[in-house]
Amino acid sequence: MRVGVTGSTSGIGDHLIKKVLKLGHTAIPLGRTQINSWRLGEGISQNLKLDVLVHLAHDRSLSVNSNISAAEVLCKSFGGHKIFLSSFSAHSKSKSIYGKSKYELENIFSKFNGNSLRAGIVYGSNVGGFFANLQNLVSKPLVTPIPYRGSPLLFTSHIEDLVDEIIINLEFPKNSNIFAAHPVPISLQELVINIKEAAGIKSFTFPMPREPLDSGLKLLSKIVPSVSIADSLLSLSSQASYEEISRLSMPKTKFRAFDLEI
Amino acid sequence: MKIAVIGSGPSGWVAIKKLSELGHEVTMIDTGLIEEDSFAIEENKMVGLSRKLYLGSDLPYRKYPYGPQIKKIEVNPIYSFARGGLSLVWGATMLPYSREDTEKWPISISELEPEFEEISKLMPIAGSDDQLSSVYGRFISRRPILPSERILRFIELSRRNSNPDVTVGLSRIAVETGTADQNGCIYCNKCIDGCPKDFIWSTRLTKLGSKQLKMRVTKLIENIGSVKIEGLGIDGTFLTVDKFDKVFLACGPVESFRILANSKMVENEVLLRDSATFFLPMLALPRLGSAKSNSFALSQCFIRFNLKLVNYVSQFQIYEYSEDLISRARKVIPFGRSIPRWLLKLGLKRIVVSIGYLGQEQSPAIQMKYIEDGSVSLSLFFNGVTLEQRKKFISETVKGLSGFTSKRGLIPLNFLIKTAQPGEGVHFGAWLPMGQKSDLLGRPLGSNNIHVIDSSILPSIAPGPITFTVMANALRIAKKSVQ
Repeated sequence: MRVGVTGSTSGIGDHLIKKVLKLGHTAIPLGRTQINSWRLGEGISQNLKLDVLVHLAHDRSLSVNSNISAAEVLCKSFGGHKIFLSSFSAHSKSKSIYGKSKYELENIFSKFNGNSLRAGIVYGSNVGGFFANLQNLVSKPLVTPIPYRGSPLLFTSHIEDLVDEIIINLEFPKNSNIFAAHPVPISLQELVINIKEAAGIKSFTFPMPREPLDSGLKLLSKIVPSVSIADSLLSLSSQASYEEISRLSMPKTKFRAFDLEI
Repeated sequence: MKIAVIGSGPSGWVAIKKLSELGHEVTMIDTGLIEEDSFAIEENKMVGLSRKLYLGSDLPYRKYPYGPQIKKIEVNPIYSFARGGLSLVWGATMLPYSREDTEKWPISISELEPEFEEISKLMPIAGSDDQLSSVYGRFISRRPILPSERILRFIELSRRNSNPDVTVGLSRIAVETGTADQNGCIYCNKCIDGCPKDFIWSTRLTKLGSKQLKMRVTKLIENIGSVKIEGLGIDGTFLTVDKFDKVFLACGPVESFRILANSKMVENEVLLRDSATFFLPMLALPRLGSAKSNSFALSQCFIRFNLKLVNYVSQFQIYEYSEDLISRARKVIPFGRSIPRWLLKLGLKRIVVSIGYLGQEQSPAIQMKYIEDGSVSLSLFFNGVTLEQRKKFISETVKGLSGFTSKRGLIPLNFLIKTAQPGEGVHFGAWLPMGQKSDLLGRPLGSNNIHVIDSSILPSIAPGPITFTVMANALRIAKKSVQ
């Protein structure tokens, strides 16, 4: 099978390509710096003869509308099965640009012969994204601010489990969106404490209340869209309702519980 | 073999399932009230709150018009004549007894482990592998039901600063939460009126044997090698069925006592052991988070609490705030209807409700007396734990528990405790304990082919859910008795 992977320079793409190659398939990384030059907003060339496409690339600095148009170009250029890596911050009531655009993209992919995996916070070796941001935030000395008093519930996915689930979906394509995380959520406070303990950091925590933080972050993400932490914190401010989560189909992989020592 | 199973509740179902699998000819006998029957709704109250309904009707609590009557004096054990029994309206908690609870039993709980394992494959058990696993074992077959924000944080806090006397974990309930190819709970919050999509497991959803017979059994007559069953049909006519090789009684402790006493197989006066049940609201501090994102009305969290000083165990199940609570609270609180809805909501959003259970040593027992005309009278047993003593036990337990939960954000509101009448908690039985009044296969002494498989034969009643243990024991007896 010839598997195209966009966003292959990220932690997840790297893991995925290694696993795909290990299983004897052909992996074709697509990206600005790759041999097969591709950037967000372009279509996939027919010459690559892909069987499946895994879409991991995402540009946080783009607005929701440009994200949508880029995805439509991508979907129209490739007719085969597509897998889109979505996120738990993508839901109908999402407040962040990231969440909104991921949610719209889910709809586009399901229209064009594809499905999405809603991953939780991806952790493990060599991952960027929200988890790395959080680690960065926590390791700042003295006082660690915990947004929203630490109450948001977060789902977590270990990177290896997530890659396994993507591979299962490559081999057995499904039309529905998939819940790709450990079934029990974890609160933000618990996550922060866990990261602190694993890194051996002793600092105070400052629980930040909801209201001033929300409006401050909204302002910041509008003025400086490249500061991704503001937008990712904003995506914590609202959660998908359980009703919405229950419409996702369950993964075939058994996702492990959050534990940084693994 | 030709086998009759009397009763269609969980223990009857598991026996029918196993015996038919083994190739026996099984007849299910029950009174057979089903949902097509009338839909009259009677107010049924437990601790002041109206009771869970079955798809909006009170079918499971309805009296059976024919046959002997059961009189209740100062006690109120709940039993059901509906097809499916109390599994139509149960809280669906599936937690086995712990090793500690069953120390004095003639069969150890580890002997029942294969049965627990087998049952967890037959039906969905949603839960998570957490602290509870160390005490109760890991018998889960589905992902857990998602709790509210603050319940989850309470569990996290309890895990972080754990206490050896307290075990806290997500609830384990028989609810379909979905698999890779099957849909599950949609969090519609209609659990109390009966699940509209049948995701809460009940025996009604399953196949109950190839043959079904509608009658209320009154008497069993055991001859050498065969058993004859006498009873009353759905229109009150006298019926007999004969030549069963074995009969399994799974119709609940009260009815099985009536049948056995009428058949002169047991004494006319026995003690029904009960687990005292009480209702304890708790105040959830804002630092735990909100009730948001919750829309599920069965229990969300289990707490097992061992009061060290006097060494007895109690069990708590925590229920979250739901919209439904407001209308219920208006009925219970004095002048509740005159309080504006928004004000009530503001207060109730900070409240979680817990239901606590004590063991049989701390609970009043119920005396069952068989009267010659066929009826049974149930009353409080005066030589046992009195109602005042029970009150003392409860306040002692709650005081001990509040030391633990208050530090983790849940403050028990002692002045709002309401205690259920003996038997209202539905966890009762042990009037024919195995190893004392019956053998290890549930046969009353002197009987060869009549097996009791419901909660009557448990050697003791421990605090907390009873169904899983009863089912496992029924399965064990069903397997061993036909070998």
